[in-house]
Amino acid sequence: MWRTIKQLGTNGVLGINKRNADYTLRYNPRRLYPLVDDKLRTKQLAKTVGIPVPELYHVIEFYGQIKAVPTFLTDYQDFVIKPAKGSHGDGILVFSGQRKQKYRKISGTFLTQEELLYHISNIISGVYSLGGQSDKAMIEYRIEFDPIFADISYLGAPDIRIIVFLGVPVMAMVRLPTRVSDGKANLHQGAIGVGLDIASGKTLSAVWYNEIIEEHPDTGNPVAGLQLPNWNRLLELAAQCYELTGLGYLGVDFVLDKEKGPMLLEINARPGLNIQIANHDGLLKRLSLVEQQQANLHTKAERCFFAKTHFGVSS
Amino acid sequence: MPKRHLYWLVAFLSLLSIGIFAYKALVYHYPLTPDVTVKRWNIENKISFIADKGQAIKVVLYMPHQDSRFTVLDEGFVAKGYGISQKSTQYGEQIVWSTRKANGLQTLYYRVMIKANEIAQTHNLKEPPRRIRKKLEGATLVAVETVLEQIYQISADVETQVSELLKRINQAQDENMLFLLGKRPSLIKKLQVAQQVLEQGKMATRIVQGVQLGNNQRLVKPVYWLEVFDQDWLTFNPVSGHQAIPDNYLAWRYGIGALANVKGGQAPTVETSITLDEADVVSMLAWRDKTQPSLLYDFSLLNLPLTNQAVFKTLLMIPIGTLLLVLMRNVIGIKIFGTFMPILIALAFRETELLWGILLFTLIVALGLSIRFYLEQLKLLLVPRLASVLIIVILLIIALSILTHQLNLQHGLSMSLFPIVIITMTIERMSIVWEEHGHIEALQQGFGSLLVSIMAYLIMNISLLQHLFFVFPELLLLCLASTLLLGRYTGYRLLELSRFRRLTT
Repeated sequence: MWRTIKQLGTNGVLGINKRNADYTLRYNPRRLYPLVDDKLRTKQLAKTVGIPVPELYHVIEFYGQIKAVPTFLTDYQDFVIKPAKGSHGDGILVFSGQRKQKYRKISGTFLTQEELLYHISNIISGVYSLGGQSDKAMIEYRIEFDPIFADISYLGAPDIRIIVFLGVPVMAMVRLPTRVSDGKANLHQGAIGVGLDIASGKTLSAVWYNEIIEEHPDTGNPVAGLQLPNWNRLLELAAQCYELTGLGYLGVDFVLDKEKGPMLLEINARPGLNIQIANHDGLLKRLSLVEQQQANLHTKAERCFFAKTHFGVSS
Repeated sequence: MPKRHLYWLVAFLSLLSIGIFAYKALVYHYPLTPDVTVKRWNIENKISFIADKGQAIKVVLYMPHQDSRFTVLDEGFVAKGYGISQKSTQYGEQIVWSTRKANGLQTLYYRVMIKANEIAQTHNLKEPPRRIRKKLEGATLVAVETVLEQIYQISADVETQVSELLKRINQAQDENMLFLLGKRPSLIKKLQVAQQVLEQGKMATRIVQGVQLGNNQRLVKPVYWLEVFDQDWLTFNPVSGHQAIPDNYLAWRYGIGALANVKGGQAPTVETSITLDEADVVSMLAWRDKTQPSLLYDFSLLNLPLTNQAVFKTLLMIPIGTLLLVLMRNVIGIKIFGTFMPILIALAFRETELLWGILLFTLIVALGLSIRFYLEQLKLLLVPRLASVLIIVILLIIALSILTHQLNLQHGLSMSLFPIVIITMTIERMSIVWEEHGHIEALQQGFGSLLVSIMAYLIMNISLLQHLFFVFPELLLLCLASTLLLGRYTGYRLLELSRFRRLTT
């Protein structure tokens, strides 16, 4: 056991206690949390500085507004319903069509109108929010996924998670949904985590349930060596989120739209640690390097350059 | 805030806690284990007499000595219509009851509760007491001088001198001795002769009257012994002649006079009775011990009413449970439902006993969960749904109670003490986790919660810990210090080692 602890220490693996005590508690002031815990506020904030986000169709805040939802939805075939304060992707439903008061989920199963409205009322009562506080339901644009991931994802939305520390993108991964994860991009629920080379934006090794894999378990296609488009733009957008929120330690989630390019989905003030497994590397060394060089890193461009020179696979 | 600040705070709290603990344990002998008992004697003196008509009455009674061997825990006087005063005389402490007028049979009580001290301290008198000596004449003087000369020749010091004298008095073979003692001498006469001889040898002596503390006794007879001054008062057993008297001799007064004196009354009788009981040390501490600083006593939980004490006994165990909880979550990494849920379940287990508690808890949660899944189909809003589950949990508890009662299983009834609201929230959280993250995750967290509950119950039920925290509540500061320290624990959680095992290469 001591050997494992020592090994993890040498490899600079960040544990949850250390993340909480030395990073989130120190660099993320509590008063700024509402900015990112409420996705609606994040979205509005991002829009003010021109960071692209999925278009918001509708917000349901009160039970009285639920009745009007079916009428409103008649205009849309593709849409996503999500709680503004949800975590771990809980409570998100993705629809790709409707017929005779039935809504087709992306997985192909149908939801009755009654079931859909019940789900919205659950969101409003705070079933999915932290601490059970009352919440808002958001209906928004469904991403048209960039075909780059078509071969290595199953159903749902692959997303790109970038950890940003003091404005420097330090580590990144792509999360690919699988059949097991029911289209969700959550590693706990069976999604695949694929490490990303910060310097080039190419996919590295992949992890599925703590096991290293070469191919997507559903599609059978190799997951490594894929070049993400617009990588520099993604890095800059991620770096920008530091100034946007004022939070020092962040997880920024992006999706790639076929036409609209990278879009900010949400910002997480307590990003998970599985990204280390996906990248087969610890976070600590990168974080301390940024802490040391903090004084020299001012502009967005400087920080992205720093990240590319220091955190690339080849470097 | 810098880490050093926390370390200082933790060090300060720990030192304070251990300091108070050590002070109470080492200096005042607060018991470290719950099973220590102390013998405690209740001594009752009953004085009864018939009052003279129209006469003022004054009753004098000697009170036991509070010396280094015994501590008075409590005293009480019962006498209707009498004024009470105390005074100190050369023969000992006196209590004086007085009244202008009384009729018929009078009964006065004096009760005292004492305990034996574990360690008797010696008290050194710097100056010898005043010598009271009667002048002897004629044959008595000759006899005394002869005896004194004889024992002086074959002894080395005061102690051996007195021992030798007492031996001779008890054997009474010598002519001089026979002359001094007279025929069939009583113990008191023997003591008086010893006093006579020793005082002629310029030694200060006194006869002590007291009682022997045994088991329960009625109509206790007084016992007598001799004390001789040699830098300090030495006690001698007049029968054996040995220096030192039995441990359970309680001194009452000096001299051979009566224990009580009644002026203005006829046919006075004094009855002394002794009852012995063993009290556990914790309840003994509740008696205001005059050797204890009043601050320690006043700010102690032992000073609270008994019903409140019981509440605090439970309350004081909660920090132990929370410390365990913090360890389980932040050092081991076990996932549980709700922050303090296992503590409340553990508290409920104290009422139901462990195996029954586990069985009933599992049963209620499992049944509640299946009903919650059924309710899911009714599409209820959150708060009414929670309320419905709450009502169902109560119904389940009632049903199980009646069922177990019918089956003559006593423990079933105690489950009414389960924290109903907490169980309801657990069922709700579990069903959400079940749906969102699958049944494996839900069952894992459920078993994690149950495991921590069981461990919390086991640790909170250690009677030694219960005792220590009750008698030494300052240990809570140590608990707080450890918890604060764990608040800055940044090492890996035990379960993370397996989670990140891929990263060890």
